[in-house]
Amino acid sequence: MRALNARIILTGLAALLLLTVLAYLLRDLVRTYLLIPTLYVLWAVRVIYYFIPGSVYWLILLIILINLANRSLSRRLLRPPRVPLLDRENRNPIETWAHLIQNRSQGDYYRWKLANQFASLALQLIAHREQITPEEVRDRLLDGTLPVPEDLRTWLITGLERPELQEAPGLVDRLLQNGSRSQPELPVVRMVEFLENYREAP
Amino acid sequence: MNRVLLLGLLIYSLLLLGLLTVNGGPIVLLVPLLLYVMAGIYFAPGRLQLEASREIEPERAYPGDPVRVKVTITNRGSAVEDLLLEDPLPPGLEWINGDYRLLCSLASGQSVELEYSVRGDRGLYRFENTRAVAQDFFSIFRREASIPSPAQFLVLPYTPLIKKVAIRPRETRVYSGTIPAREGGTGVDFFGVRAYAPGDSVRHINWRVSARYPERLFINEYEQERVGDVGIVLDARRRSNIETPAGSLFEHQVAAAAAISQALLRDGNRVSLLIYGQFLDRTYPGYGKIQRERILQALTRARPGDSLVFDRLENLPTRLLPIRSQIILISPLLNEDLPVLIQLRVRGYQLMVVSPDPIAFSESAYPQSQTISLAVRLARMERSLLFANLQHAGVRVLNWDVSIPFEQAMHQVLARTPPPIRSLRV
Repeated sequence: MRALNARIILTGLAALLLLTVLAYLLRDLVRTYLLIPTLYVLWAVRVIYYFIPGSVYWLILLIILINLANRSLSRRLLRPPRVPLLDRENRNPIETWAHLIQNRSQGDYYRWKLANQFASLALQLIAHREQITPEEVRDRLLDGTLPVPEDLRTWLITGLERPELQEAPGLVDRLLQNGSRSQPELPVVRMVEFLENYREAP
Repeated sequence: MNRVLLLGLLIYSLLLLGLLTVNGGPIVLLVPLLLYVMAGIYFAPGRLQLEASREIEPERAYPGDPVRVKVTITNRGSAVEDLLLEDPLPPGLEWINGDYRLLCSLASGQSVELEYSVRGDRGLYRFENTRAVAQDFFSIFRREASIPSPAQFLVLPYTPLIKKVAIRPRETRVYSGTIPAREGGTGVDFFGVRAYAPGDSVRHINWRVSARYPERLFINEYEQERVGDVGIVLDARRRSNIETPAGSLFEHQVAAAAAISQALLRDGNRVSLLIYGQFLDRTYPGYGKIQRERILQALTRARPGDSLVFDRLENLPTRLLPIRSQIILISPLLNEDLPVLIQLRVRGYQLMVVSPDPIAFSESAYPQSQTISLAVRLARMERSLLFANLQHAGVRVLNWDVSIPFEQAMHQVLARTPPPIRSLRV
C-alpha cells in the first residue's frame, strides 16, 4: 500500500516537473497570443461597465427580484377531482355503477349505457326469480306481460335495443337547443327500488 | 465535483499562473494544497478486505413482529481509520431500533457488529450485501466495497385457526380420514345393512332385522371416513383485487387460504395450492407438515398481478386438479366468473367458494353521496344474484365480510358436512 502511494507521489512530481519545463518554454508564446489579448478584452469590458450608469444595474436587479417574488408567491388553483376514487380504472363494482350513474347526464350514449346495464341486471334477476331463461324474460318484457311499471319497462326496452348513435351536434345546434335532451331523465332511484322489491318479494 | 479533481485543477492552475506571469505568489499558494494532497495520498485507505456474517432471529415471523438482524464485520486486511458501514434494508421493511449504519475505525483482525430490529408485512425479505466506505483523515480519497452477507427471512401470512372445513368430494383416497366416503365399513355414521359374512364382528349384528329372517343374520355397516384430494385455488388477479387506503383485500384471501390449508392438512387430506394471477404458482399435492410449510412459503410469496393469459378464470388449468376432487376457490369473484365455475361443477368437481366481500370492504372508502349509495345497492344486488346462481349450481359459497373474523364466518357456514350432491348436468 505504501509502495503504491509512493508511486502516485512520484508520478505527480514528475508531471509537475514536466509542466514546469513546458510552461517555461512556451512562456513568450502564451504571453503574445493568450495573455495580452485577454487583458485587452478585460480592459474593454471594464470601460463598458463604467460607461453604463449604476442605476441601470439596480433597475435590472429590481426587475429580476420582482419576477422571482411574483413566481414564488403566485398560487395556481388546482381543480379538485370530483370523486377521487372514480378517476381510477373502473374495476370495482361500486365504481362501475357509480361511474354509470354519474355520467348519465353526459349524453345519449351514457344514458343508453346505464339503461343497458340495468336491463341486463333486471333480466338476470327476473330470470332467476321466475326460474325461466333471460330470453323468455326479454320476450315477456316486450309483450308487456311482466309486472313492470310502464316507464321502467320503456326504459328497460331502450336498454335492450341497440343504441341509436347520432352525429354529435355542432356548437350552434347546441346553443339553439339550450341544453335540451333527446331522452327523458332516467328514474334511477325508482328502478333500484323496483329491482330490490322484486328480489325480496315473497 | 470530485475533491481530488478539484484540488488537482487548483494546484495546476496556480502553477501555470505563477509560471506564466513569472510571479512567485501563486507558486507559494500551491504549497499547502500540495502538502494536503500528499498527506491524503499517504494515508489513503488500501483495498478493503472485510468479511461479514449475518444472523437473523427469528427467520420466520408474523406481520408486525420484530425481527433482530445482527451483522458481524471482520477486517482481514490492514487497519482502516475511517470506515462507514451501512446495511441497506430490503424494500418493505420498517426499521424499529438499533444501528444499521455505523462510523468506526477497524484495526487488522478486529470485528464490529451492526445490530438492529425491523418489522414488515407478509413477504420474503432477502439481504444481499453490506456496504462499506473507507476514507483518509482529510476525506480526499475514498474506497467503497460491498461485502456479501446473504440471508433471508419470511414474514408468514396471518393464519386464523379454524377447527374444521367440512368437504365432501365425490372421490376419496384410500387412507382413513374425516370425509364420508359413501362406502360401507368401519366408521361412525350408519350406512346400511348387509348379510352377515364369516369374520364379521358379532357386535355389529342388527338383531331387529335378523329376527325377521330366521335363517339369516344381518349386520350394520357404517360409512367409511377417508381423506380426500383438495385443490385450493387462490385468485391473485389484480382486476379482482380491491385496494383501499385501509389495505388490500388480497391479504384477507391469503389469510383464508392459509387457514383452510392448515385445517385440511391437519385432517390428513392431500392438499395442493394454485395461485392464479400474473402466472401460475403451483404447490404440488402433498400431506403433512412439510406440505404445510410449502404452502405457507408459497402464500408468503403471493402477490396480485396482471396477465393477459390469466385475466379470466377460463384458463384455469383443470388438468392440474384431480378429477372429482374438491376445489376451494378463494376469490372476491367477478360476474364473468360464473360460467367457468359452473363448468367446473359439470366436470364433476365439488366446488367451494370463499369470497371476501369487496363491497363491504370498499364501501367506507367512498364519500357519502346518493350516487355511491345507489351504486352500493346495485352492486350488492349483482353479487347476491351471482351467489344465488352459484348455489343453484351446487357450489357452496361463503360470502365473507372481512370485518368478521374468518374463523367465525367459516364456522357459521362451512363447518358442517354438506349432504352428497350429484354432479351437475347441463
